[in-house]
Amino acid sequence: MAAAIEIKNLTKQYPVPMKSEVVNAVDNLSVTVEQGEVFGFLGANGAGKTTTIKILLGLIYPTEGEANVLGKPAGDIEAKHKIAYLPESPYFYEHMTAREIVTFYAQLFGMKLEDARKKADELVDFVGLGGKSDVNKRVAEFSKGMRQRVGIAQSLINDPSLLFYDEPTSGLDAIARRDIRDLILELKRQGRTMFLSSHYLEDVEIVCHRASIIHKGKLQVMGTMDELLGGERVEITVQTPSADLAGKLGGMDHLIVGDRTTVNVPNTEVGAILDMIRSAKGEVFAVVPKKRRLEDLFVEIVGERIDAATGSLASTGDRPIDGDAATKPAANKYKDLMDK
Amino acid sequence: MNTALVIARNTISEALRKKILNAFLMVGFAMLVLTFAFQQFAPRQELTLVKGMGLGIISMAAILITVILSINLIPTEIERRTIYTILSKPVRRTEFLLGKYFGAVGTLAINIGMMGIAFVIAIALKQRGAEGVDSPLVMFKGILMIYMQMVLLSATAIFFSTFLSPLVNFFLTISLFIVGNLSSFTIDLAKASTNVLAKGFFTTVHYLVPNFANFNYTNPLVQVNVQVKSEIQLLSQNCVYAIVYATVLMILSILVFDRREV
Repeated sequence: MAAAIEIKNLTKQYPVPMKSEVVNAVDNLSVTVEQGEVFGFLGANGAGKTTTIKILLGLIYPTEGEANVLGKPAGDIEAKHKIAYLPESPYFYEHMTAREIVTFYAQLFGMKLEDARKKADELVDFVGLGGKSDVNKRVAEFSKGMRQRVGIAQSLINDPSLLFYDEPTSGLDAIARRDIRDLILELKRQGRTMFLSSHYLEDVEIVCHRASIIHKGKLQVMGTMDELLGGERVEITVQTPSADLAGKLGGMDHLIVGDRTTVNVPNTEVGAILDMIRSAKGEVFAVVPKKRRLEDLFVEIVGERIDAATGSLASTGDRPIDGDAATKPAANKYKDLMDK
Repeated sequence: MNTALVIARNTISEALRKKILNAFLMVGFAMLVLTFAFQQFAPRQELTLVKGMGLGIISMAAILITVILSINLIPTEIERRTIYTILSKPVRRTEFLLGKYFGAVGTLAINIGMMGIAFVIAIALKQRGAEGVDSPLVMFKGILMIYMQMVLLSATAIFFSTFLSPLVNFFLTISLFIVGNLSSFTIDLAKASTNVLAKGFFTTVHYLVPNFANFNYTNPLVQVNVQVKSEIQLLSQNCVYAIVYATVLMILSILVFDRREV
């Protein structure tokens, strides 16, 4: 079975206005998404996520490289019968109701008007817009969450096997966001392949099998959630360690605040490190299990790239504040994840 | 083709709700009514004036509606990103573009048709009881020519809209419409010119720019002394000319739009 998405050395360049230069919106990107997989495609604003999705849909064309969707070249009409797209902040014809919009899109799949109307009724109900108060409302009167639901409804008309969702929860309140996330989980349960771009990393963490982070068009890391997050970790805080113990702790991933030193270690090494602290007569102040979040990884990667580009400190994230950490090599420590 | 028709129907339904287009339509109706305020001429002169002005007003309103509608059809879809959800469905760019164009000519048919019907009814009322005058229904020939002229003008505007911004497109389309209405002058200028470059320029303009003047059919309808040898031949030739020219423009539009990034 062909991969759902196969991107090989994809590059998209745009000319810089008034200059003879080009900027790489996507830079030599290679990603493969298997059938049935929910794949998180992450990156800061302007990282090249939407550009990549637009290439995959045939809305724009690559400068170099290859992009295949369901075994066909990107933009292929036959493949489009089996895919769906929900753009970021989708906009629909304001004069139409949700039912009319879904009917219109259903007709674009060649459905007869009667069948299209039936399908629209079914989908409008599925996304929770079939109530009496909403069914006759024009899109112009819809909230952002309601528009997003219409977007999801139109994306399910053809019972797609591959869905491209670009920031599906962007700008929604907490309740609407949870509802959309539940809908995505339901689609995952149904075994659909999904290419999900999102700023909400906790959503990605919950719903995705694998994820990648891109920055300035370049792939930074890619792997399963376990590979990316590196399993469970534990923070051990030692009160006023001796010089000898401080030296040993300093060799680990550590943070010094006042007279307390906190080390961040893998779960498997906790026993040995506690033994080492006790044998050095150190006083353990706290032992706190810490699960690394996707957000930590994201801030670490994207923040470091910002540092490298501007020379300034990253403005976000709980990054190490000691000198050693600041001088860590930025590019190569995720190489093992890239190789996977 | 079915997809194009679905898009066309949606385009018509949206266009008929556009306030600015409806405003032009209302102004057209209002001015048609105003033409009937002329009372100081002899009845035959008055009828000639009303017919001439009526067709002129319909033509002016149609030009504004056509240009404003057609220059915005494609850019608006791109700007508000509705095109993303459409082209991510199994819709070819050709079908999308044809759908938008059919939607535009459908909208124009409704708008010009409404103005035309109102005009013909008004003429019928005006010449009620008068003897030796043509049936008011002959005015539909003039209205048909205005419509075919707009079919061509819309194709011109849509062609430019595939690669130009609406503002530039507006001025270019209006300019071409004016130049196309002066077609007989451009060929005269080409003939009279001794400079090779100027001759080439005017000749190119004459043959390249659609001859919008072909469709001005007011005089044979209004002036008693203006006769056309074969009216059916002239009208059908003009219709074929508009369709062929519009087809060529749409083929060019498809070629440009097919490689355009949206």
